[in-house]
Amino acid sequence: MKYIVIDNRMRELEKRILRNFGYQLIEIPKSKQTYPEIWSHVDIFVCKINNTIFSPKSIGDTVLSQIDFLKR
Amino acid sequence: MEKKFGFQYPDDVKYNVCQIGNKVIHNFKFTDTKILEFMEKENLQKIQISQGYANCSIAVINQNAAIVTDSKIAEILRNDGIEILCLDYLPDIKLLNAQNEFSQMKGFIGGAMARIEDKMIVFGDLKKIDKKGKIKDFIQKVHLEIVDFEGLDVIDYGGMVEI
Repeated sequence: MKYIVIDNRMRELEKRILRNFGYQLIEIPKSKQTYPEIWSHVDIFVCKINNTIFSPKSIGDTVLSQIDFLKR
Repeated sequence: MEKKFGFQYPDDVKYNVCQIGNKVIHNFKFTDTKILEFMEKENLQKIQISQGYANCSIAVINQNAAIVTDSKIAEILRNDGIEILCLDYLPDIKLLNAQNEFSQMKGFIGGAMARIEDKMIVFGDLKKIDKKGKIKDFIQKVHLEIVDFEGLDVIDYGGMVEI
C-alpha cells in the first residue's frame, strides 16, 4: 500500500486522482500553531530527507501516529 | 537549544527543508536540530539560502532539476550544478484563508506542484501559471508525465510527501 501526506483542504477531484493512482491519503488537519494560509501545509509540518520523515508533535496525534506507524 | 515551532516566520520554517539529490537547501539558522544532525550523519551537502521557506520556493523535478521564481535562489542552485528553470514572472498561485477562500497572500511554486513516481502533479491548471509553456517543456524534457486539473486555479497546498 502506498501512502501520501496531503493538506486536508485539497479539492475532492485532486484527492480522487491520488486515490486512483493507488495512494492512501494521510491528511494534515488545520493547526492553530500557525496562520491559516499554511495551517495544514505539508511542507510546514512534514520534512522528508533520504526517506526519513521529520515532523513536529503539533501536527496532531492522529497524523503523527499514522506517520510513525508507517516509518517502522 | 531546541528551536520551538511557532506561529510566525521564522518559527514556522523548521521543517521547510528542500532536498535535491544529495543536496539539502535551507536557511540553516532556522532548521530543526534533529534534521541538522541527520544531515551530518548522512553526509549531505548543505546549500545555504536566506529564504526559510525553502521547500515552498523550490519545485523539485528530479535529482538535479528544479523550478523557482527567485533569481537569487536560482543563481545559488545553478552554481551548485543544479539545472534550474527560473520564471521571470510571478505565477498566480493561490493560498486558502481561514474560510477556505482565496487569500490575499500569494502561494509559492514549490507548494503548487509535487513529484510522485514518474509524474508531476500540478494542483490546478498548468496553463494558468505557465505563460510561455516553459514549465511544461522543462518537465517533459526529463520525461515526466504532467497531471493537472483543467480550468482550476492553482493552489499552494505545501506540496505532498510520499511515505
